[in-house]
Amino acid sequence: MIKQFRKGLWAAGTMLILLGTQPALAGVCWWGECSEMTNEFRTMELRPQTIALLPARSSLTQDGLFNSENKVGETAGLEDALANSLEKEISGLGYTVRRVTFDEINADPQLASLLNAANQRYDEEYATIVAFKVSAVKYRRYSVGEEGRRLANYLGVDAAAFPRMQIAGSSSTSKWASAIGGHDGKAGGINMEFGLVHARTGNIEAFFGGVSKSGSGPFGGVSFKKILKKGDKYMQDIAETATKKMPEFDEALKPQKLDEEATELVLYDEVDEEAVLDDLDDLLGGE
Amino acid sequence: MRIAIIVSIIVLSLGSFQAAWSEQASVYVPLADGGDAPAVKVAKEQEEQFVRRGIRFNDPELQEIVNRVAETVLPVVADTFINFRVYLIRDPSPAAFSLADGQIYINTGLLARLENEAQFAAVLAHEAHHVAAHHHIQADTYRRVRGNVAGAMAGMMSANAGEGASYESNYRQIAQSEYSDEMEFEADAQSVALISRAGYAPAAAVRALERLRQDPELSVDREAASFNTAESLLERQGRIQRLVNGLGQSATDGINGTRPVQLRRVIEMTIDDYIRLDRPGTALKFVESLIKARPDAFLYAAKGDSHLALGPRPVELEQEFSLWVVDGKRAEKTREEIYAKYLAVEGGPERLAYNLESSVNAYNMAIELDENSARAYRGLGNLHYEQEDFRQAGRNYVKYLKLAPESMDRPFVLERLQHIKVELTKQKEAG
Repeated sequence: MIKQFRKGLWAAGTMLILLGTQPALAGVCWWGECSEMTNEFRTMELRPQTIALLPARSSLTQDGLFNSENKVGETAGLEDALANSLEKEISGLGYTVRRVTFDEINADPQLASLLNAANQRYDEEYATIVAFKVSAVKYRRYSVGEEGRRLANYLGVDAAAFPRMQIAGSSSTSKWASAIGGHDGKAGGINMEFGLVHARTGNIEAFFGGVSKSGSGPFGGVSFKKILKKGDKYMQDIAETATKKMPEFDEALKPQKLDEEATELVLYDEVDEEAVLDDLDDLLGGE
Repeated sequence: MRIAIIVSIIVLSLGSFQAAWSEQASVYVPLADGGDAPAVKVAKEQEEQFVRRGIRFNDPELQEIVNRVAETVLPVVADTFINFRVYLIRDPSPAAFSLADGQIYINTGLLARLENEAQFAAVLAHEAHHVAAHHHIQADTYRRVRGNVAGAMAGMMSANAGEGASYESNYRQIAQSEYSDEMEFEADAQSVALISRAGYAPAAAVRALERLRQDPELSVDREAASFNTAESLLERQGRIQRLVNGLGQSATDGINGTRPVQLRRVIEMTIDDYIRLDRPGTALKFVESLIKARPDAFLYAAKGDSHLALGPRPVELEQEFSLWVVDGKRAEKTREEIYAKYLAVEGGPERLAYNLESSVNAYNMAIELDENSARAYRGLGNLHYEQEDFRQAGRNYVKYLKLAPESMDRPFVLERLQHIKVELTKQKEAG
């Protein structure tokens, strides 16, 4: 009997620990600490001057007491607000931002195709990055490859920013219930990150993220109503948090010339087509 | 009002199931207040989101074919909230899905696999029945009730009560709607009635399922597709076959139709998408099935590309996946790491050698069939470049650029040629 009771206690304890750590385990990153960059990005060698800000891919969930529901119609306004805030913050750091809009994408089939391919490739890496491997960005572990380079070159920028956002807004009843239950799983929160894919390398050279979540319980977290009501403010907050660790662009620190022979550091339009083909003709001639 | 909707759903569900069994095309009973159902409201929002995000694949020529078939096969419904329209999505997975208000989405990968118009009509009719019989509304109501019950049972301690939301509410999530087995079979059965009425052979519905069952992806469930999820395709195929037999139709009817020429582009695109999405095993199996039916230079070049992309990885997907499961989660590895891992395991180098050899053979076969096969020269260029045989790589790349001067990847090839030039110059200087 006592043995069974102990067993039960042990199981309950384990369950509580698991539930307590669940948000941290399930979360992409915590408290805005998920920012990382390669050394070349840090030292300005591969710091982009122009950045294409791509439309955010986002999800919005309303967490009820028993049920959660994806919200579709409400995301458009929040995505626009996020783009406004990110443009403002990144521009404020000295970068030239080229904002890519849905209207532009829908009017240009080639851009739509390039963006679709790059997004698919980015999301493949993103799934790996968010599995506690943000730190590996600095080792240049993640690559969007040719898809990323083609997109950035098509847009005529040094790098492309791929924002991803998850918003969970809780209902007032679920906030109270979570407070009583001592678990903040339904307190709501906003999570946003963006990776910077360089046009020269196709690699994710930097990754910046932020979490907006002000505690648990009925007075903490983010409620769904508030998100809809104060969307602009929340988006501004999250953009500020995410760009907090993003270094400024300083023209004076940029290296004057890159190693032209290293192919991974070449922009497509820097290749002198005629010269290459003529020289190759000589080198391969007679075979 | 919610209770009224649920009651009418149950009554209609029974009615439409009976109708599906009848030989006559069913007359769908409209759903009172159906326009107020959450599933219909969400469908409208999703449509706006799809347009905004550019999810739809716009190809006027293909859309014309799609619309033409749709006109013949889609049922007439009295519900004012249903307005049928069919769209394409560029995705190689063999999937189709619909939304409560009559939107039907067909993946290019599904279109690429079907052999004729009749099979496409069967898929459309299947999805149309889900809409006309209000399956989305029923499934959504069930989901909400189940979510509440599950949530209440799990209590307030659980953060995952009910339906959890995952990253990105995109079309792939929507495509995984939870229809019951009955709903799927009902839609299969009704598709037979609808295509028969439109003048297509009923057996096309059986063959369409058979085509999808042949897809190597299904065996590993790499990506769930709505057309495949609820009941096993084999069971569905058997049940629908019996239904067709009952109608006195032979199993071979409707198979001999041909693909419209425009669909060739979809097939090529699907193969390219598989390789781009790092699914060369699926690409290879798909290409091989097409070569078996009608070989040509493009298919052989694509076969070469698939072998090259496979590298040290095995062709059989099951082996490939079991290795991933044993060695770790795919989500924690990048493409390069997975490639390197396969190369390091026993048999990896041999598989690489085999795939490289198969790749060269396939490219050469493509050139034999068509000496101007640009794709084959590009493939040979890629292969030799990876093997650091810069002279051969240069020759093949130059040939490729001459044959395909307007190719999208010209900048990429030129960049490689610049590197090749540097390497060859070094070699020349070294004597």
